[in-house]
Amino acid sequence: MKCEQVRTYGLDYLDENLTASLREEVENHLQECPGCREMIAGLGAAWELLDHYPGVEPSEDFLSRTMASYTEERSRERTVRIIRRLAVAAAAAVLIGLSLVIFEGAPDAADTDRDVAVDVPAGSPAETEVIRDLQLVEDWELLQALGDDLDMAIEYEDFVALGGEEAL
Amino acid sequence: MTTRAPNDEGQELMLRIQKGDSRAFEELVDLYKDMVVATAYRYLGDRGRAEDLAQEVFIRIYRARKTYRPLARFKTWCYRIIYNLAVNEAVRQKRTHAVSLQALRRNERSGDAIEDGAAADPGEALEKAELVAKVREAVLTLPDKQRICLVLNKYEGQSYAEIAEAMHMSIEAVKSMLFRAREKVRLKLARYLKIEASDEV
Repeated sequence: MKCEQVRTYGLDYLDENLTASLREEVENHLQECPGCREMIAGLGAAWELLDHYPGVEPSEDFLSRTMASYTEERSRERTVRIIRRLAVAAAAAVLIGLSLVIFEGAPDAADTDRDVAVDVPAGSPAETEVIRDLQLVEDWELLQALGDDLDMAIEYEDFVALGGEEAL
Repeated sequence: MTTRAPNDEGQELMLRIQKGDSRAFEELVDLYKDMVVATAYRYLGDRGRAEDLAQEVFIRIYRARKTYRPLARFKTWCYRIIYNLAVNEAVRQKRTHAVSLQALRRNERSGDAIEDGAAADPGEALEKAELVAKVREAVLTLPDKQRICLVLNKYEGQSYAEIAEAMHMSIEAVKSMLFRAREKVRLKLARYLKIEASDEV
């Protein structure tokens, strides 16, 4: 057996996971090769030394901090869901020509509140009311962006026809 | 096709989380936080970064709930997420290799590490502290894949097959990684090996 093969079988030799004949071949080589002998002995000793790398336990507040992150994540997901649902409803309204989307106020009164902490069933009358009240899609650029996310083309003429801003 | 392992609590909890059970997520964190923090710590060498990474691991697990399939043991899947995030973290932070003795002592005084046996006198304590620092350095200076294989094998008790599954490697590749990792550690700690050997004589 050559040194390279000892390297290949080294771990299995240390784990005592070799067949009897292979083990004998390795040991015969080790008797003849001081380099490999030192290497194998060193691998075993180094393995023991690794015990001197102690671990750590989680901080006492790790669980509570992680649950706080979890709560934030759920809130973020809910916000994204609402905006996407509203975009679908708005795009659908434009396509079927219904005034489900209300554009109110002058340009400088645009509601910039994009985050909605409300959870309503998609397609429900309640959702229609939410859309009506939120003034979410006064902004033509936002409506386009939301439509792009959903691969829905929203024509500017339709936006205007439903009462959107004629001049931006 | 799923391979739900019997008594794999992680798999069971993930399936409950999929159904919207918030309590299940908290149970999952509580059950696996020791493992995730310990693995992250031994890989990164810093408690603060390890806990930040561990939190991120659990949030990633939550985000993946809808597409989760119990194809492997939960811990196996978890180790993979830890590794992926740890590698990204290491690249981002461009962590230095050296772990100073002073930093180690600060960590020990603040209770950062679990004591692995108090020394009887100051001289012995200093030697021990130096050895701990050197062993940490030997692990933390290993290349990414060698380091994670060593951490999972030595400190998490994972078999070659389990590591292969977690790391998407062949068993032979894992053994090769481990051999190289242990060889690097041996060479790095050569001075201490001789000391240990003479102590045992």
